[in-house]
This record gives sequence, structure tokens and C-alpha cells, in this order.
Amino acid sequence: MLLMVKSVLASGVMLATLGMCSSVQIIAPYDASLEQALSERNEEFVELVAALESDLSDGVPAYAEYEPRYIALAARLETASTRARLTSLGAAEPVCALPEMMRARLEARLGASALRTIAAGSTQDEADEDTVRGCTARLMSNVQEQFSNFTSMHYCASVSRPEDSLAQQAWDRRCPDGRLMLNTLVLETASGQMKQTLEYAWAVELAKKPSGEES
Amino acid sequence: MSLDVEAIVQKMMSSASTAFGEKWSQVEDFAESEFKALATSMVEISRNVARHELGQGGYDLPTGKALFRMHRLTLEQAFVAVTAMVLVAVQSALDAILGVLAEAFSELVDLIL
Repeated sequence: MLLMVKSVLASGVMLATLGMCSSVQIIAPYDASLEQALSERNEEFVELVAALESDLSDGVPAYAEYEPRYIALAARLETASTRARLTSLGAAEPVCALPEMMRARLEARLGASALRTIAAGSTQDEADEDTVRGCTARLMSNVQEQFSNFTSMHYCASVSRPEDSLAQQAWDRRCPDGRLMLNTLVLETASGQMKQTLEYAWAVELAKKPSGEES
Repeated sequence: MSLDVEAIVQKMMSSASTAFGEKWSQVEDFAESEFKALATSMVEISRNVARHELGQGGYDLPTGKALFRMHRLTLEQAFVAVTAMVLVAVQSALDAILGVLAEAFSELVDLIL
């Protein structure tokens, strides 16, 4: 397994940084399976939100009805996140400070207005574990946290604070603001952040695809 | 002072260089667009909480606070993702910036901050 990982890393794409530092960055290699997985997770989340929105016309749907879907999607997001971490393992990708060339491709894909700006050109030499995690891996970690918050919005709108004191503590930890509302406006806002980050993670992975192979 | 996006962004930018210190140069390039997104979110949340209190839709204060916390988390993650800053340093800088906002915009204090 280790040999396989090293082999993958050895074929990692080397890109000259066009920014201030003029140094060379080794970014995590393009992973077609990961790109496909991110695209599929994005579609699944959009479908999930659409189903929830549809059900909202009859009031807040029971959290328990959606919990199996939430658990399943959380597991698939974890799989994609793990793959992104493994793919970028050891590649000295300086967080998300991607080279200018990749940023241009990202902007072409997503549109400048929809794109969260990426700092280009700067490099970090720090070799701590956090720094060497690739950009896609970092974004996937963010997506997972955002999904957890999204499901909590539904939980706190659907499940009343229990009577039992131990159960109350668990509820209070998950619902620090107390009982919440869930309507289409809240749903749109709560899902928007995750959709953006997930689409962004996909676009970052796609931007690593070698030139000439992009469909 | 009125609660508008541009005014909030300007206040955030003016306090951010101090709050981020020597890391500001790593953040400055993209901070303005991120601050604008957060400021837009703040104004939207404030308006929706106000609408709810008037019985005109929107959502209640606890929901507004939860949505704001989600947006702040996204902003923190974005800063961490594009810099080598650790999360606690980003959180500390944002606490300082939001503290300045709370002094300048009393409407926000009573609502989401």
C-alpha cells in the first residue's frame, strides 16, 4: 500500500508557481475517481435538499425519517474525504494557495463571481501535517462539518428538548441556540454554504486534470 | 450608522489588518470578498429576524444565530484553507473584528453577534 502511495505521489503534477515566489510546487495528483465521487455527492446533496424542501410544505418533516439518508451521505462524504487525504499524502501542496494556472481554470469552470478567491503564488514551507494536506482534502473536511451543521438545523427544528436530564445534555450540545425553525428560507441558507464548498472541492480536483484531457 | 453591507465591510477591513497582524498579507487578497459575503449574510439574517418579529415571514432569533454561526464557521475554514494559519488564530482575529463591528453597529449586538 505504501509503495502504491509513493508511486502515485512520484507521478504528481509539478507546476511552476507564477506568483511572487517563483518557486516550484508539487501538488497532489489528479484523481479521476475522487472527482467523480465529489460530483456524485454534490448531486446527492442537491436531491436531498430538494426532497426536504418538498416535504416542508406539510410542515417540518420528522428528523428520524431523514436520518438514514443523512447517515448514508455522511459515510460517503467520509470515504471521499479519506481518499482526498490519501491522494495528497506527502505532496507539499501549500494549503489552497494554488498556482495561477489552476486558479484560471477554476474560474473558467465556476465563473469568477461564484468562485471563492484562492490566494495564488504564495508558498508555505512549513511541513506540519496540516500544511501538507491537499486543498481538496481540506475542503472536504469543511464539507463534512457543514453537513453536520446542516443536519443539526433539521434536528433542532424537528426534535423537542427531552425531559430526561442526560438526554437534555446531548440535545443542548447539538442545539446550542435552542429549538430552531426550518422553512424554505432557512433551508436555502443552511444548504447554500455546503453546496458551494462541495462544488468548489470538485472544481479544485478537476482543475488538477492534465491539460488536454478535460471534457 | 445604517446597517448596510458596504459599511460593515469597510469596518471589517479597517480592523482586520490589526486583528490578523503579520498574517494579514496572506489574507488580504481574498479577505474583502469573504467579508462581503459575511456582511451580506449578517444583513440578511437581521432583516429576516426583524420580519419574523413583525409576523412577515423570515425566521426567529435562535435560527438567525444558528445560521450566522454556520456562516462564520465557513469563513473561518476559508481563511484556514488558503493560509497556513491555525484555526485558533483565525478565530481570535475574527473575534476581534466582530468585536469592533459590535461597537459600531448596535443593531447587530441585539441580534446575531
